[in-house]
Amino acid sequence: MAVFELPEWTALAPALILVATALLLFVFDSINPRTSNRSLLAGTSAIGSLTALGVAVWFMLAGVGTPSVDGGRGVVELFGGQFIVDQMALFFMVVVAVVTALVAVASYDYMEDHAYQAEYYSLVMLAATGMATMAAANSLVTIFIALELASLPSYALVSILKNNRGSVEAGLKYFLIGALSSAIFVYGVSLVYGATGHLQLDAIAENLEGAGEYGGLLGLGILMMIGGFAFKTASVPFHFWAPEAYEGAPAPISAFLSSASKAAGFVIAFRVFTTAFPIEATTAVIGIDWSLAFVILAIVTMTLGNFAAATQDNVKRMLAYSSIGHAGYALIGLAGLSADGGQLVMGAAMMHLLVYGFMNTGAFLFVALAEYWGVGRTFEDYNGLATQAPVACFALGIFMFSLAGIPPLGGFFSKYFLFVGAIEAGMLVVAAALVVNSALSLYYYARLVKAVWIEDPVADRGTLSQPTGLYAAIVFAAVLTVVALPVFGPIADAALDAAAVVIG
Amino acid sequence: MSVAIEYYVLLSMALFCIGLFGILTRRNALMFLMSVEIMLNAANINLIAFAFYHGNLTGQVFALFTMALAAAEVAVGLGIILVLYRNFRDVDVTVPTTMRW
Amino acid sequence: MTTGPRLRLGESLLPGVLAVALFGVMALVVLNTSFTTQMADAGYPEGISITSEIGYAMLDLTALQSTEGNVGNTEPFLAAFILIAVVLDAALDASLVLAKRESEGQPVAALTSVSGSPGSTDSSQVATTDGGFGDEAETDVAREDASDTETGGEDR
Repeated sequence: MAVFELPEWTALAPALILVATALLLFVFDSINPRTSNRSLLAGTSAIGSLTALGVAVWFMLAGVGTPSVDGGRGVVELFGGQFIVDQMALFFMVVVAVVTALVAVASYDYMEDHAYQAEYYSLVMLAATGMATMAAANSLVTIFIALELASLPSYALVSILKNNRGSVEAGLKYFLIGALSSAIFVYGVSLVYGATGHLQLDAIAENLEGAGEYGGLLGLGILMMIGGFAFKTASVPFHFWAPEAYEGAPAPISAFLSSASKAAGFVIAFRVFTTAFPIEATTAVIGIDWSLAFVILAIVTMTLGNFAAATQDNVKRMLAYSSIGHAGYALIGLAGLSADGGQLVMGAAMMHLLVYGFMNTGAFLFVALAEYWGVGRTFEDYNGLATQAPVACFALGIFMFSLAGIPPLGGFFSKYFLFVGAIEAGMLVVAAALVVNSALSLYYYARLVKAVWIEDPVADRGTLSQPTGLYAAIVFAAVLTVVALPVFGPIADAALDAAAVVIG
Repeated sequence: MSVAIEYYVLLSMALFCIGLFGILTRRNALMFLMSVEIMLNAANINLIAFAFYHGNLTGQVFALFTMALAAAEVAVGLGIILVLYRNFRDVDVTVPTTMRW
Repeated sequence: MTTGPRLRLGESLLPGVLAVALFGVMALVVLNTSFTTQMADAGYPEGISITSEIGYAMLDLTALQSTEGNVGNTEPFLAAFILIAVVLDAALDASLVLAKRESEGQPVAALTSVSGSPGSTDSSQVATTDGGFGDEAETDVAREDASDTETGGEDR
């Protein structure tokens, strides 16, 4: 594709573009600290993330990160192996960039009248940079620092409505759990370093054989690192911050955290466990197959998330618990690695995270729209919205049915691949849990659609405005969810190839 | 004559558990922050002791980075606690209960 | 006034048993691990400066690095070094946003030598978007004003 060869470091271009956008926003902020030129700020962020998206897609098509034997340009290793750009990295950069663009556009209306416009957008871009670098990090050092780069701005973003008690409380709880889990994570890293003497993932894998006598330390370290991933992906046992943080945060930020941040958490989990701790070698050292831990976590997470979601009255809280449930589905990707079908399950989990990025962001943006209108927070408050805002409510229907996994939509295919993969890997219990939970999730997703389309409004709300930015973002997310269908073949191929490269 | 590695690891584990003890029992947000710092420093002791044990410097350099990150985390944490105090007139983590846990 | 850190004894210490139990488990793991060498056998070779080696590792100056012992196996850290610069930017940005005060919907500069409240803008502009708790936000603004008089503000 490319006529001329770019230097190697440009493989990180998506992340570099995101950080450049953040610095540009700093410049705007320092020239005019009280600027309220929202179009300029939101526009810059959206253009920056769309450029990053375009570059990431172009690299994927041009074959960056595809092994040379398959006709690609080979996996790019940078900074002595501290970063690695392969297909999985690019795939997740795409997810992060799409969600960031949607959030930036939607925030144009949602953050109207807010005092910290430039700071808000620069924090969003910095968090996105952190998530994009998490996708490419190939050493426990860069993974940990990128994780913090994604987390620190997120803490501030959750509590950015400083006079709103809910937002501050959410920020506090998110920060406390986040700080605790990062302390546990870094302790796990130190134990892994103690057992192997290295922090680079490939070097850890090479030194596993010599780590025979340190099995206990290594096992403890791996267990503690799982805690760090569980926090970032909102899975059991560090899931309980999610409902609080998503409910109290500004809705676009909830969308950002529940889609992009979760995807970034999964990419480091995938990379660490496939590259640094190959199953046979690790089992030989610690005596237990670590994928067992993920089998348990996947089942518990999806069951807990879906059952809790079914009992909620508050729409945002319901979506938060459903996001925990979806983390459980994606965990199947790690649970199935021990068996032969590992490549299929992990590819399916990556597809699910991509499709989930569209549909879940869209669903949270609908909540943002409802908060913008000020209609209230419970299912009853949403009754009959369809008569006043049919377009947005039609999009909501698409998101809900896709999240539930109704056949013609993107969410169905990714779940179907997960199901087939789980069966092939011989995890019948996990496959059964997936089906039962999907059936249960249909109940509460359909409840929201019913409230919006069928029920009559409880109170007269007057006319509802049509904020351009929010509408554009919601419609765009809906289009992406539907378009994911005809292009699902290529998406699936890309995900499966990426998984094959990482596992192989 | 040097101290055996086991004692360093035991020391760091003791620190880690002291930090965890603080998090589980204290309700003051600032004490919570200090407990997290203790846990991060426990990891630093491990990293530096193991760096000497393995004879390479990777752990030592990483410990420097951990310190910088701990400082960054405290900066953001204090910001949140400041906002918490302005809203709730308290730094007790059990006071904010707008939403149930 | 704020509640100072107070030591609570009794039932509130119960969850701490978990931490003590965890220490027991971890200590067992360590005591059952047989570390092969005494630390005297490992360690760094004589005659190299650890500080400069750390500096070389941080900036990827592999050509200058000593190759004696295992010191040459130190991993390069330049990527982490660049990344942490961005992290510190982010932390600065985040903590400033959180720590700034507003008066009448406009942020007050963190460092200002002008006394009195700068920026006399439309007081109906509230510095918050309705995140679902709108009714409480107004009372909080009132509380915020009260705190300004109480502490005397930071302009002095």
